[in-house]
Amino acid sequence: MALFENVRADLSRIKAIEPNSPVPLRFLIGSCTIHALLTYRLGRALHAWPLVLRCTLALPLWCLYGVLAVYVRQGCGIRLSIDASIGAGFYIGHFGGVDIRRCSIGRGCTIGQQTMIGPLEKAGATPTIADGVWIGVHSQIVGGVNIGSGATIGAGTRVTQDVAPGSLVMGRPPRVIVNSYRNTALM
Amino acid sequence: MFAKLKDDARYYFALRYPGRACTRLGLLTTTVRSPGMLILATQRIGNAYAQSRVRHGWTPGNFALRVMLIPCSVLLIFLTKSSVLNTAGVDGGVYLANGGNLILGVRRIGRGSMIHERVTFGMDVTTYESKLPTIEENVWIGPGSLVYGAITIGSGATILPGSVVARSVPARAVVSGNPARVIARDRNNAILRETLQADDAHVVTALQLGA
Repeated sequence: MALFENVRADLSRIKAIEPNSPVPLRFLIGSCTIHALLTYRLGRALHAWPLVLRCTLALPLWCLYGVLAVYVRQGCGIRLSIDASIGAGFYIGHFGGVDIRRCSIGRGCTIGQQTMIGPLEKAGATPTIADGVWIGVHSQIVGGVNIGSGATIGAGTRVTQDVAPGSLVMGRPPRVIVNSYRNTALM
Repeated sequence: MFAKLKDDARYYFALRYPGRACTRLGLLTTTVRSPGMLILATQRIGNAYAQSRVRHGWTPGNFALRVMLIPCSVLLIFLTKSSVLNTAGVDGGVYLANGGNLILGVRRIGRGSMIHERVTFGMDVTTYESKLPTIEENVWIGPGSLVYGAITIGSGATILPGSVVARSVPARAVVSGNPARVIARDRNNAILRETLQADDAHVVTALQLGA
């Protein structure tokens, strides 16, 4: 199932970034970001099921998702909307103020705290983020922008225009600092 | 630790009830009603633990503190979405925002400093060396600011809301923008540190930036 593959990819990503953290223990306590991601994955998997199934067999799971989603949003300040499509191996750097609305995020991306990704208005165009993008803390990606694979968004940047693959964008207003920046060290 | 917390409570009391005489009951109610005090109290307990852990190793007292700190930090995340590094040296009489959302990986925060909501201090991820910023005395940091790297914010400096600071700031300077630039030198931020107001018009008048 896609759910388990995604979760496995997320956990192996966390293990790769934080080699010293005992992952099974962090399930239980301490790590809001894992709670948030697992809750999102559950909700996303349920969301793909047919409505009949959701209203009958999957109702307990759906209720569990509801409770967990409230805990994650209110308790940890991480809001991952199930309208967002997030690829496997997603890594949230820190809890607090993460707000991901309707958008599309590729595999192996990283974001930090106080970030906002989503359309400007509720029915507006949504951002599309390719694979391996590093999004710094306090940044915002709003409106129908395309971010190329391997791009790096610096801290505190409000991105409103397309970003070419592999470039480093920083500052306010955002400027391209480096055209071919390798963000593998940040990952 | 308690002396420092009492200093904090005095600062919070002065901000909440400006011009009123400080009573013991007032200090207590201020402490209970300010989520920012909760962040500070948890940090101070954590700091006491960290120091004792370095000095004495794993004693039963340290173990008990460590166990006690886990629910404290979970409660802190729930109530304020904040976390402050245990090893940070936070002086007495500091204001941390009641709104929370503070991620403070910092080496030192000086006396009389005021830190508003949604502020992040941290290391520079491009080098991945845990070099943290130092905040000196009487610094005012506006909401939504970000300070990172092995830098020093000089005493009496002002960081305007939404700045991204990656270089050291001289004492009494005013910085703004992303990347942050010095927009004024030798300004006194005492008026800013007397109230909880952080809107642009108030900042401009308090620092006399318009002229």
